[in-house]
Amino acid sequence: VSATSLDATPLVKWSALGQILLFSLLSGIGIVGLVSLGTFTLARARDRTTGSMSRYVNVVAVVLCVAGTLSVVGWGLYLISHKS
Amino acid sequence: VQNSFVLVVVVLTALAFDFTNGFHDTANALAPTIATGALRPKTAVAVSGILNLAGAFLSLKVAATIASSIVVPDLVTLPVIFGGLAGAIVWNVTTWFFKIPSSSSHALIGGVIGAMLAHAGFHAVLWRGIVSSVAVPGVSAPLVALVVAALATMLVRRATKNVEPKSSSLGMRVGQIGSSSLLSLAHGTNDAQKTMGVVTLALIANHSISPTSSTPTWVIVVCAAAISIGTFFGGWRIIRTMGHGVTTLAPNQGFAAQVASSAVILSSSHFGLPLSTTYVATGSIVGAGVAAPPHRVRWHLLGRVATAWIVTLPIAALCGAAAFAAQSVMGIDGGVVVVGLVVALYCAVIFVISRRSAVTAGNVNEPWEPLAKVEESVAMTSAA
Repeated sequence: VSATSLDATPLVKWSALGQILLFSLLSGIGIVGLVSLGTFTLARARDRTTGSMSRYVNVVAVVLCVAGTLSVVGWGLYLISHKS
Repeated sequence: VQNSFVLVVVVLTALAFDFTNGFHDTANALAPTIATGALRPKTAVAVSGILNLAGAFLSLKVAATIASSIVVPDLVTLPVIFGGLAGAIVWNVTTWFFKIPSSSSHALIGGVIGAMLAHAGFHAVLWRGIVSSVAVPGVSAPLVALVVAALATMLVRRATKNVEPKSSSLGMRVGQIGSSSLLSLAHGTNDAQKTMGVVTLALIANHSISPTSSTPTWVIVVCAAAISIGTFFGGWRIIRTMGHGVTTLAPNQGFAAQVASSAVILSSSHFGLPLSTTYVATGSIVGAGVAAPPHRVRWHLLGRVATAWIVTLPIAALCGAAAFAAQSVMGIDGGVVVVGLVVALYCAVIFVISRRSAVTAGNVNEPWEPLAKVEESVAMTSAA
């Protein structure tokens, strides 16, 4: 990187900052939402007073939440190993 | 001119910096996880140390050296690198002593700038690069993290409102351990490579390898080991500040803060504007603190932290310039040895003094003075 090429780059990369904010919000809120939902449904699945059908639905929901979380984590691992 | 002796001293200094980088940044990946008891302190640093090691090998594409965007690369010499590293080590150890999370990258940048100013003067420093790679990320990182962590905290609190804490603790624990692990991996990838870049730059400056050749394997191995051992050493003083000092975190807040940090770090590295882990982690903890009752963080402590952030670059630059000037006065061979020994002595003295108020795995989670203490005492006086 030479001094001249640096002069051409903007001081503040607004688009990069905006993308970072957007992606962090989507992935951060997404993970927190999935884990929270998984926690909520897990508690309901464990609740003995819930009917068996409802418990079955809840277990499926827990599995989906865990799968969703793991896929976002996998994407994170991909980003780490293929960083730009 | 090749100088193997000085090269060896520079490489050792770089590894020493890498080690301080490791323990200084342990808190960034682990503070909430340790503070909320998701992992036991020693287990946490062991896991993080191993993941830092793994992370260092995960991406073998060593990032453009930290120095190339802030100083004119052709003017870099071994003593400049040495001065920069020495300045960064001194500032890292000092901030660790005062229990302040500060950016190791910015300390290194500051040190290199100072040494370069002393070596070649004003024109050798790329000031625009400093604004775009230090100042802008420095200001934006904590703000972005704060927003993400605050929203995440509100969401997790709302979503698990009707779940008993006992049932929700598993999700929060696993979530924190998972995000800590991701952060540790990312730290190994980004920060170990920073030192790899510096060592590679030293090898190029010494004409030991050609400017186009890739980082030698031994460099990757020793840098990965140094940062991993540093992490395992555990920066308990800083973990205490971030885990308990800034605010008091419940498990769901710790979880939200950790996920926010991971999300911001990984996105920023993906979009080519790497944000400092320290600023992101601090911003996340503040965000998690203000978004949940009692909606309080210790602003006076954060004021000290912010002051340290602002002075990191100038002070590290002063130290770097002093280290460079001292070694050049004494002649290169003797100079690097004497300055190196002075820095080592300084670190040893700081370490010995720190033992008087030692923070260890055993007392890192002792309660801080309560957040609501002031209000309580006011209430008591008015009641009386």
